[in-house]
Amino acid sequence: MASAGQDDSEVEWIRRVQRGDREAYGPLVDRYQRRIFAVVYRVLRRREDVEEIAQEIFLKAYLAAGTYNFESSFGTWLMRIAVNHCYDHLRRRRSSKVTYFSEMSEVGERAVLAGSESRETSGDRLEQQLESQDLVEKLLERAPAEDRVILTLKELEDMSVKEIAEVLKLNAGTVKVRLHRARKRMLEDYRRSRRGR
Amino acid sequence: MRCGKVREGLLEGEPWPTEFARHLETCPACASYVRDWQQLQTGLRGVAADPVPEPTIGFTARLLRRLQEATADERALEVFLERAGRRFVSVALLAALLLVLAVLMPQSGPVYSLSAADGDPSRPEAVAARNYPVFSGQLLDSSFEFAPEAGGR
Repeated sequence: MASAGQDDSEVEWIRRVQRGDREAYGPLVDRYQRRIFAVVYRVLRRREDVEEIAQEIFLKAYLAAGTYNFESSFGTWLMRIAVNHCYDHLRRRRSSKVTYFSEMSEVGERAVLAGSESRETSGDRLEQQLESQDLVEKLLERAPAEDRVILTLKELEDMSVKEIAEVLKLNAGTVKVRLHRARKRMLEDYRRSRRGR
Repeated sequence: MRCGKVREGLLEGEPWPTEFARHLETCPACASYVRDWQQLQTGLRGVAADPVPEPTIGFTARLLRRLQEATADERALEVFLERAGRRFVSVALLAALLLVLAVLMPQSGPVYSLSAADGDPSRPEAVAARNYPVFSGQLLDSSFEFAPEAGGR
């Protein structure tokens, strides 16, 4: 049975892909490529790698198309593959090894602060916004993979708790707890970094 | 009102009850906490607004070409495994046949013992062979002795 929110043409494309029709995959890729690009870029923060990683994700999804059973929407299923793929990349890059500000070495702390110190004196609202953004970007980059993914999906992709739960295959309660912890850790480190300057 | 409750409520992202706002008026520590949270949210909104790279022209066509290559490789592996599997089955069948023949072969060779049918009176040739060994080749056996003639010298 097709999931709610899927139009007939999409269902037809998926069924054709499941029968091995490669050409039917084209419209599905066209439909979801921007969304996949966005999540890959926001989780991994590497502009130059986005296209290659997006190709890997679509390739993986095509080869696994037979396992898609229409329980969730195709977009959610694809997003799950994308997030798992990004997790693997983060783990490979070991970017989750050194994490938030509180866990950084002194050198790391100075590096995080250096990016925002230059705009310290202006007091201008826009400058302050840019400063916060800069700091948030750096903290996100150093965040543990789990925090980074859940914060990206919620705060940057603006997904609901229910949607995140579907993508991560968790129950909504677990998502809320993890999101709460991730926010708390990030805020504590944000405050610490501000006070440290 | 406890500061912890206000801060937890803030991080939950749920709508704030009015007593939280009243608490902030009297608690500078929580007010500062909330300000930092708002700044962090501003930073996150800024990151979210950062333009995402667009797929380049031909992204889908390149992907479909890669798929073709990937599925061709997969098919080649399938064909290889299929052929190897067929060969294995043929060799296994041949080995099984040889084994069966090896087990059955001795039974089709010389008779090593008399069968039950040899003593069957309904088969006169078997009875004759027992009573008249000359006809059954037993004379060649060196252990056979002629009985002395009655009234001989």
